[in-house]
Amino acid sequence: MAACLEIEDLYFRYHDGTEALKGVSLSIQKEEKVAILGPNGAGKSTLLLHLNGIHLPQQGVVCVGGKEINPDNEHQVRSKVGLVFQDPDDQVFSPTVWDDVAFGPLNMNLERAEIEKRVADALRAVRMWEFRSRAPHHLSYGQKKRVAIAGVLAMDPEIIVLDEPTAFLDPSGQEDLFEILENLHREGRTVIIATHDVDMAAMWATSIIILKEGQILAQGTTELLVKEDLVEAAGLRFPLISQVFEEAAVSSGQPLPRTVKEGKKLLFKLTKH
Amino acid sequence: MDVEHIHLDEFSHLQSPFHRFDPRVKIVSCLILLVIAVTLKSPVGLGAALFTTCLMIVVSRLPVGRILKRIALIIPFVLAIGLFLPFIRSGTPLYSFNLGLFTLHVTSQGLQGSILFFLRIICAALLIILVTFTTPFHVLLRSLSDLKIPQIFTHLIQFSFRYFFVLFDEILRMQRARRSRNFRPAKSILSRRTLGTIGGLIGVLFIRSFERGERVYYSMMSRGFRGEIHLLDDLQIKTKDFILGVIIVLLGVTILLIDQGGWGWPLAWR
Ligand SMILES: Nc1ncnc2c1ncn2[C@@H]1O[C@H](COP(=O)(O)OP(=O)(O)OP(=O)(O)O)[C@@H](O)[C@H]1O
Ligand SMILES: [Mg+2]
Repeated sequence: MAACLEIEDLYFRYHDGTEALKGVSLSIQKEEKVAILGPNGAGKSTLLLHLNGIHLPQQGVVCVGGKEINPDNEHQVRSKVGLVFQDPDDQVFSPTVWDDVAFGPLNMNLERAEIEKRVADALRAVRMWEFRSRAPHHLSYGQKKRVAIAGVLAMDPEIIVLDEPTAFLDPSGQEDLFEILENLHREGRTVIIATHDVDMAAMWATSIIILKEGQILAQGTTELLVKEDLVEAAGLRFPLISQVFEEAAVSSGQPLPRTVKEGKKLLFKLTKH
Repeated sequence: MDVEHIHLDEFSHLQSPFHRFDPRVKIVSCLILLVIAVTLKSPVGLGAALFTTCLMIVVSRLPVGRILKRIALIIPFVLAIGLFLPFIRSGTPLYSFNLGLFTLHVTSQGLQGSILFFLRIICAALLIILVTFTTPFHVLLRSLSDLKIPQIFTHLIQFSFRYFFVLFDEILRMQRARRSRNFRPAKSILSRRTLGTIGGLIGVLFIRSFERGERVYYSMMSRGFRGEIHLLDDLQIKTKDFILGVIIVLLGVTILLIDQGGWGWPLAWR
C-alpha cells in the first residue's frame, strides 16, 4: 500500500496570529477510511483546508499522490481531492441543484455528454436526482448536504474529505450518509472525515487521527478510542458500546468492544456460561 | 427554517406560448416595449400599451390575483410621487388650497402628468412581472449572460438571491435568541440600549456575512473555480421565437406612432 497523502511538519497561523497548526505530520494510505477527531478549535477544519491547496503550507510540506502541493499544481490537486464543507450553505450556491453539481465538472472543461453523465450519476448516488431542477434554498438541510456531496462526487476525486459530515443530520440522514461513505470506499476511494461523533468513528473508520491544539496526539486504529489517558487528553469520550461493557470486559479479561457488533459478540460470550 | 420563502418564479412552469418563448428574445422584445411605454406622452398611447401588456398576460395564463398582489406592492411608492405631481407643475389651476403662508394649486397639466406617470409605471411593472413570472429564475440569469450582460452583474443577482434566505434566517435566529433572553425593544428606537443592541446585531451580521463569503469562495475554489462560472449553452432561438419577438416590437412601434400621431390626444382629453 502506498501513502496517497502525506503531511510533514505543517505549521499554519491565521492573520490574527492564532496558531492553528503547530507541526502536524501524518500519512494516509490509499483506500483508507480515516476519522480525524479532536476538541473544538483543535485545527481540524484548518488541516482539511490544506488537503486540496485552499491553504498552502506556511511551513512544512503537503504531498498528494507523492507530489508536493504548490501554487503551480493546486488546481490539479483540487480535482484529485474533493472537499465537502461542513455547512452546505457555504457550498451549494447555484440557482438549481443540477447547476450546482455541474459546477465542478464544468470547471474541469469536460465534454458535455460526460458532464451530464457525471451529474446524473452523482445525484443518483445521493438519491437527489428527483430534485435536480429545484432551487437549493428551498431544500432541507439534509438535502442540501447531499447536494454538496454530489457536487464533489461529480468531480470523481480519488480522495474525498468531509468536514463534520454528520453534524445536524437526523438519524436516518446519518444512516444514509454512512451508506454513501461506504459506497465511496467500495469504489476504491480514500475517505477522510473530521468528526466529533466517536461512535461513528469507532464503527466506520480504519484509521484514527487525534488532533489537539494544532498537534497530532496520536494516529492509529480504532483501539485509540478506548485508551483512557488519550481519550481524556483529547476531550473525547469512549464509544457508547465501550462504556456499556467497560466493567464486564475488564472483569472477564476480554478486550473492550468498540462497535455494536463487537458488543453483541462479547454479550453472547458472557451469557453463554 | 421557518421562513415563508419567496418564490420569484412560482408560475414559471406553467404552459403557454409565452412560457415556451425563447427567454432572450422575450427579454429583448419586452424591454423594447417597456422603453417605448415609458416614453409615451398621450393617454391613448398608454392605454394601447397597457391593453397590449394585459393581452400578453392573458395569453401567458398567469393568475390575475397574484399579479395584482405584486402590483399592489409598488402602488404606495407610485402614489407618493403621483400625489405631488399635480402641485408642482405650473398651468391652469383646477383647485387651490390656502395654507396661510402660501397657496397650493392643483393644475390640470399636473393632474394629467400624474395620471400618465401612474399608467407608465403600471405598464412597466406589468411587463417586468410578465417576463419574470414566465421564466424560471436560473434561465433568466442564463439569458442575461447570453445577452452579454457582464457576469459580475448576473453573479451579483444570483448570489444576492441565493444568500438572501440564508441571511434572513440568520437575522431571525438572532432575533429569537435576543427575545428568549428577554430583550424588549424600548418604545422609542432612539433609546440607547435598543440602538446599541440593534447596532450590535448589524455588526455581527456584517461579520458573519463576510466570513460566509470567504467560506463560499473557498468551497468554490475547491471545485476548481478560477474566476469564471462556466455554463452549458443549450438554449436555441427558433424562427417561431423570432417572429413572436418581431410582432411584439412592431406592436410597440405602432403604439408609438399612435402616441405621436397627435390624433389620440384631443380625442381623449377634450
Ligand atoms: N478565519 C480564522 N481566522 C482566525 N482564526 C481562526 C480562523 N478560523 C479558525 N481560527 C482559529 O484556528 C483554530 C483552529 O480552528 P479550526 O476551525 O481549524 O478548529 P476545528 O478543529 O475545526 O474546530 P471545530 O471542532 O469547532 O470545528 C481555532 O483556535 C480558531 O479560533
Ligand atoms: Mg471545524
